[in-house]
Amino acid sequence: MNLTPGPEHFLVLGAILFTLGVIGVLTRRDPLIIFMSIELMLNSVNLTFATFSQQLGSADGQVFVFIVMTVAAAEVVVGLALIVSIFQTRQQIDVDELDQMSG
Amino acid sequence: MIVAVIHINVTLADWGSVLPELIIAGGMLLLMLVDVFVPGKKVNLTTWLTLIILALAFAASWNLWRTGGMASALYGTVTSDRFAMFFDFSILISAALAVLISPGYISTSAFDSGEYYALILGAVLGMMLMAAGLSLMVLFIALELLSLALYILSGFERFRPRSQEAGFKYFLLSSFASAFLLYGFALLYGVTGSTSLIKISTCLAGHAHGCSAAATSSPLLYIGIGLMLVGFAFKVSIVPFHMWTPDVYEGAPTPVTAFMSVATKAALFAAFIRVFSMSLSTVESHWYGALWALAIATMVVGNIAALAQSNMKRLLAYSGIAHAGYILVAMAANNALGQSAVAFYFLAYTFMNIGAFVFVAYLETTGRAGDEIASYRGIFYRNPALALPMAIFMFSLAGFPPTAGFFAKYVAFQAAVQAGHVDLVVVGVITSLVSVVYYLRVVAVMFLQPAEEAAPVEQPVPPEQPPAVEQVPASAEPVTRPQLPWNIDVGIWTAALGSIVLGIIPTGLLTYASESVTAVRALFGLP
Repeated sequence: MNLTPGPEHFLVLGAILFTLGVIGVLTRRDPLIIFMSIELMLNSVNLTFATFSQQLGSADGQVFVFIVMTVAAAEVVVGLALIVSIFQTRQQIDVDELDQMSG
Repeated sequence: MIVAVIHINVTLADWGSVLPELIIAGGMLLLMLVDVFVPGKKVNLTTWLTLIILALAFAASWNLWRTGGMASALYGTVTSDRFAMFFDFSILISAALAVLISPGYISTSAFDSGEYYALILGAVLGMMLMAAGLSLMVLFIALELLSLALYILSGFERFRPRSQEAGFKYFLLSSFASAFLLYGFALLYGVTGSTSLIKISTCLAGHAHGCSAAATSSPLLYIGIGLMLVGFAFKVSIVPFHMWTPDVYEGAPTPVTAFMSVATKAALFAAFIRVFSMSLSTVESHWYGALWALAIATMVVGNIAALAQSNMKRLLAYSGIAHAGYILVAMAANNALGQSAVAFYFLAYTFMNIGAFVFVAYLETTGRAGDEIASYRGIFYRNPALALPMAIFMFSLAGFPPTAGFFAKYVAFQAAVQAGHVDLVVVGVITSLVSVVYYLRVVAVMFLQPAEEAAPVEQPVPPEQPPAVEQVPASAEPVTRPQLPWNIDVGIWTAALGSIVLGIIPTGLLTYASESVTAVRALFGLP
């Protein structure tokens, strides 16, 4: 029995992590946790990109991983700034309380 | 050991084809420097500087349009074809109109102008790259660039809870959508082995070696297309991924709402067309059904939800959702006419939609509740120069001839008929009729007699009252017709002129639009 993980294992792991991220975004109420779930989604995509890159023997996927990491960092900066500015005026952050407008 | 020899082969022409983007990027940095080094209030300086930068970028785009641009530049990552330039025109015009109406808003809301304009230019840069991107990487970076700038702009009024809420909601939902789009990109890359849109299309057409013939039927391709569709649908507010739109449009500062309601959609639809209608055109059967369902749901839900709105910005948000539905009809046609219809639609939409927001933005700066429709009662009698253009925008958005909105819709539906999608057109026409109700309601409210004038004001003065009390009654205020600030005047009449001219002589621009589509179709080897 061959126990060496193949590319499909990594792809399945990526899919599972992505799904966990989606579930986290949809069920959690704390903005920071939602935020972390989005990061989990992005990182599962990175895993997928790296796997495909290895499988296809092309460097594009790995370059994409670096781009995604950079963008994710920029997103953290903006997201935390928005959370801090809300916290300064409201002193609490629960997405259910952000209901002045109801879409 | 293998030493890779890389020949860097970037010519001046390559840089020339991204000249509009370079101008915007340089302008953004310049504005940040001005913000730091010029002391005191500088709203006028920064506004003019931004307008000049946008005008320069427009001139550079126009020059690329004239010469035809480069089909693919910088190692096939970006293009300066006419299709990209056509969308650049929409983006730059909407940015310029939004900048034009910003000073009044900046001085009433007291926020820093330098970084505000720098962020607008950042968003413009992202949008232009989005329209020009030929690689999944460029598309992703451009998308994030425009989104990050817009998150901050939506929440720019830091101390107004609604603005904060808008920024934060937009941030969470939009980055959620970005992750979907990115996962779709990853799967597409995995199936086709390339991030270049042109290579993806040759792979799926079966012309490339090293690309398995099974790619078109791979389940990963289906999942990837589905994920990308969700991502795009979120960003251009297509039902059922539209829930963020009304809240963000209502909460964000009005000039920002005006800008993002048009320019973001233009950029995203340009990329949407490049990825789906061009790169994935050989596997149209994989995505047509989903697009059909989304188009119908968007037109129906957008128009019906708009009927119930009492806030103008929310009404325009739902109207924007409905218009995304009509544009989706043109896109679903998946022929050259449909794609030129989308390009034309955005130019028309730029004028009519931003015009409506100019109206709202002006009323907000005068201190009235500018976004409540009920407060527009009798505004025609107080300020006809404001109410008449607004009526034109409403007629245009509803699609009455001879306005730009009519022709945009007409060409979109014509393309769908040509492609044999009569079912979409039937739903489109019926929902357009529904839309007439809410657009005309706004017009009717503006032309109603003002409530305070409707009641007779002269009442017999009791004789025992001393004459000193007799003063000018408060209701005399409407008699003095307020002069509009020149920037609002220019903005609203430019938009009105655009909405009318595009409706009376649309053929020239339609020819331009179809030229631009021919260019991009040739690039992807489509007839």
